[in-house]
Amino acid sequence: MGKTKGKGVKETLDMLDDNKPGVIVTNQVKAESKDEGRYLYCVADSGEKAHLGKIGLDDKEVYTIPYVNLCAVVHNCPSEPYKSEDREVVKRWVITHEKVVEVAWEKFGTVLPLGFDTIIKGEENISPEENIKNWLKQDHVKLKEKIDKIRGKAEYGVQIFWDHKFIAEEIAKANEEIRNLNQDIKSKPKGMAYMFRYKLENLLKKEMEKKADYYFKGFYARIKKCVFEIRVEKTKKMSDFGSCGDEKRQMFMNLSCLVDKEKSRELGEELEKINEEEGFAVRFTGPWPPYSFVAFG
Amino acid sequence: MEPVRNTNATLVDLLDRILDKGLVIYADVIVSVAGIPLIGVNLRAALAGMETMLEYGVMMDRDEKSRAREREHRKKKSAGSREEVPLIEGEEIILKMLGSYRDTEGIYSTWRPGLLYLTDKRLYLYQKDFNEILFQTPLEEIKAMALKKEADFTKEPVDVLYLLVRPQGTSKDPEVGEVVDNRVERLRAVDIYRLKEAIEERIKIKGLTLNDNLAVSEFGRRRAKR
Repeated sequence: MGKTKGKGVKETLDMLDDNKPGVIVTNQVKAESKDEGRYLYCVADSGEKAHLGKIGLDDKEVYTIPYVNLCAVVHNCPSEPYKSEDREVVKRWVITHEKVVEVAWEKFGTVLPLGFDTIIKGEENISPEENIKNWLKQDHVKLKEKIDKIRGKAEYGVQIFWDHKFIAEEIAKANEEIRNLNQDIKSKPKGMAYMFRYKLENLLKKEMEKKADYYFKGFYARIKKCVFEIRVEKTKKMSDFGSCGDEKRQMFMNLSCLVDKEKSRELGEELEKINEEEGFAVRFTGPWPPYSFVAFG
Repeated sequence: MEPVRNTNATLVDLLDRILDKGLVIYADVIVSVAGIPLIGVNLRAALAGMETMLEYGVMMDRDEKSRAREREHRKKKSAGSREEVPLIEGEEIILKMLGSYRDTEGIYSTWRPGLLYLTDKRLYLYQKDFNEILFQTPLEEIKAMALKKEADFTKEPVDVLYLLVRPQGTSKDPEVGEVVDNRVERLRAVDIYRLKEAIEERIKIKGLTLNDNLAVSEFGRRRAKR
């Protein structure tokens, strides 16, 4: 019987109680529990067995587990999620995850990125490697389809903001009822002015919604021509995070676009035109690995 | 227009993708631990670029050695990066905090949020996503200040700092002669008391004086638009 020490003692004793003959318990138990998970970064379009270096989370060695013509890009870790209260630590992990995906992207040409903190464990008789290979085998066709869809493409974020005030003024210029209300407010005593202001704001709100719809459809059509696929994402409101909203810069469109790498310039040019239109501003981010276009199906 | 990535501002965009998206594994041979929420809401909000929302006033170290270090660090970092807060040569940050500025032009009055910077030369509000200075005044032009409580759109009373700003130099009104273009600015901040004290101190250091607060609150009542 070997010696055991440290955390595994209770578990070890339980194992011995099972009356299994010839059970040799060694420090191996402890060592394995540090390495029994495989942290998954992405699936790459390659059957190569490769080592990418100590570029993983916490400087772990990143390497591939191939199956035929696909491979999973991983590092060894405990089979527990990465968790921390320290936001600098989490930030570093997230950035590292992205960097590894980008390295694999560069090296293997096409990758299906995974979200942060996907870890594959082993089971009773199955090592994590086998689990991964079985999965790659089982989903081979689907994974290859996804890879074919995204080959040569990248994801870009497009956010369009509008100047709420500018648009409101445009509306007022063209809308007589609103103009009159605005005049009335200035001339009425405080109490009445409040009522008029309330009415004005409701009217403006309705007109703004119509405008938002109009512009959304217009920009969407223009952008669609330059991209392979679009996903409409939720717009982020500053108010989601606090009580001050910036009405001058309100996000009213948030898109993820899957674009052929050669056509990204075209998209950039169209966005430049939109950005130059008065009352609108564009935020253009990327190229990202296509996180938004590999999730389902 | 060129796309941007790998900057502080695009951390939000990365997080949106890396925390909520990516390939989903359904195969039942896999025992996956994905899908468990691992990042608390506050931490996530903090990471999502709105971390400035949670920043509090930071009194920079007044020690010359560490200020020099900070200058060196800034020089090395910037070199044309859009991320950098715009600073004048030799300018030093005394205090920074999240705040907002009352923008009263046009039909709407709105509070515009950003990061308030008090430097040894001026007070300004910077919006980093669009690299825009929303409000700016040299310290010499601040003539008076007063704190008032106002109800914001949530009906909660908030402390608003009124500033009477008198630009140096004047304009000429053909009928009246020289006219001084006073204006009243309004600011909010996560620690408005600290900001006010720091501004007062900087103005004193410059050998200037601030007028009686009462005058400004009177002025503010009469002249401020909304």
